[in-house]
Amino acid sequence: MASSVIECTALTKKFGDFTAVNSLDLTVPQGTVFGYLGPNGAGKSTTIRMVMGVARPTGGTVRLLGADPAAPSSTTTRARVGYLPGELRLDDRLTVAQQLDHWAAYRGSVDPKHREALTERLGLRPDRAVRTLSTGNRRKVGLVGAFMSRPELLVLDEPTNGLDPLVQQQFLAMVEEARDAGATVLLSSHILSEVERVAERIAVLRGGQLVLQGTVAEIQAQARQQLTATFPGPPPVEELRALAAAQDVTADGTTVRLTLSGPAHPVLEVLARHRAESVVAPKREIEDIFLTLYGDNAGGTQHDAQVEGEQA
Amino acid sequence: MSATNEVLSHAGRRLRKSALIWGGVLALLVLTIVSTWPGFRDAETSFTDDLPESMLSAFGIADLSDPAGFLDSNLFSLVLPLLLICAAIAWTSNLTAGDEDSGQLEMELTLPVTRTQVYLGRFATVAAAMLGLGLVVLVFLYMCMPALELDASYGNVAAATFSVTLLGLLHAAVLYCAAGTGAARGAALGITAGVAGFGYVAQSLFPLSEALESLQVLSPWQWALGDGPAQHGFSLGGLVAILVVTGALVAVGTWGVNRRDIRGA
Repeated sequence: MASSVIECTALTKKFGDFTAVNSLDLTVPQGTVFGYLGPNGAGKSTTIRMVMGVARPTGGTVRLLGADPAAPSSTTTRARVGYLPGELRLDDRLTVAQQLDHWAAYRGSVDPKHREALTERLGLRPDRAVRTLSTGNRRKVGLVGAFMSRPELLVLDEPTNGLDPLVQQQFLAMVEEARDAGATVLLSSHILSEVERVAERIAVLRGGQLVLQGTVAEIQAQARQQLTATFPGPPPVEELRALAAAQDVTADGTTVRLTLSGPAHPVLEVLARHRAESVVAPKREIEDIFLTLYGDNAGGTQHDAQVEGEQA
Repeated sequence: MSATNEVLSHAGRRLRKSALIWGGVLALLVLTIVSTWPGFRDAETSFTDDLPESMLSAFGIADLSDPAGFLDSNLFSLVLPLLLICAAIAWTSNLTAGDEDSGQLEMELTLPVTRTQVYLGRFATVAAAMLGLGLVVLVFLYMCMPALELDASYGNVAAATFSVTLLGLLHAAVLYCAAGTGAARGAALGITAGVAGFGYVAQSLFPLSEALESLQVLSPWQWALGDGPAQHGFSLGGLVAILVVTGALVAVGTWGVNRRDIRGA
């Protein structure tokens, strides 16, 4: 097992009586892309702010590359991390190049050619004044800032907010390239599809608590299989409904749709016996799991509002 | 380039334009005030003859026909220190609480630089800019004094300028301390304005009240201005008090910012 680059143990953050992150145990293994998912206000940014040392845990511990991220001596640790905050604020008095120069001066290990290549790749003009940039272009500046030093660890909080689809694709390619070069990426998002494409492991936070964690394959295995079958005549609806493995059985003419929730062979036996003409079983979508987890929005929304209220 | 150098040069770039404007404004203020000196010098009767002693004391008005008294009354007692305090707290506010409220500080402090480096480096930049403003004031005074036959002691004028510059820096330290310990921009400005207002009132009005007179010693304005710095030069005890309190406030602010959460955007 690869060593971990981020390790949270019973990590808790309270704002007064409100618990934003509740006893979180999270391990991000080295060399992986780790998807950190959850609805808005679930506590993802609060966790990441603790990982980056700008917020302090109320309880538990967090280790970043083996060090306490809030310790003054952690500057050498932070030099190994590229960070993009969820709400990036740039210095409006500067140009894009000056903003990147400023960040690079702290790092001291930025290859100008690599930085220039990233800037071109994301379609940024270095001479543009930051104050004239759109939200998406500001985000691109932050992405160049995070990637330009080829850090061992990238911590990216909602990185694709405001990016157009083409740039989102470029970004995902950049994440894959960083991973291939040996970097670890913590990718926070409330959008499953972008994380699903690049992440090996996923953790889902809701209401400040971890509700799901595992590899993409493990989570996919938990997703229930949808199945659609077409028959030459009336479908055997009642017979299928009688099976424990067939859920949500509905019929539309000669077509029947159902969800498998157990071994497939009893269902397939019924379909074969009634001479099904076609059977379609689409790839299992883990989105279903997320929609179920996100389904109780009251918790997330209330959490979100309370976090914002506490931090204001 | 080290992180500290980058903190200093970045903060310096941010203050440069504003410092030039403030320098121009203060130069103009000095020119305007000292250009009224011939009128005071040549007046046949003193402007202060009809004013009661208590009023003269309250508003720091000295003998206006005396060059040093004229400078103390019209420049060093209120207008110049007030403007220097405004510059000091505006700059410190922008670089500390203002930056944090806007969310810029969060990104800065996730880079390979310590909170102490960022905060102390920014205060040092404000201090340098304040000394620059003091120098502008002094240069313009030295240029104007011989031309207008304003025969005050050059040494005392330098002492007076330095004293009010330090008074401004002390208020920068008050804001720094408030911001460092977590006050948002509005609260930090309010606290600092309150300290400045109390200091002025304690220095100018408390002597008029027997009950409050002894509290004048608590006023930073009293520490800096004493009985009139252009007339009497440095108040050594006052300067020591300013430097000690400024140092203590900076220490508390630095301690505070290292022990709390940084506000996000």
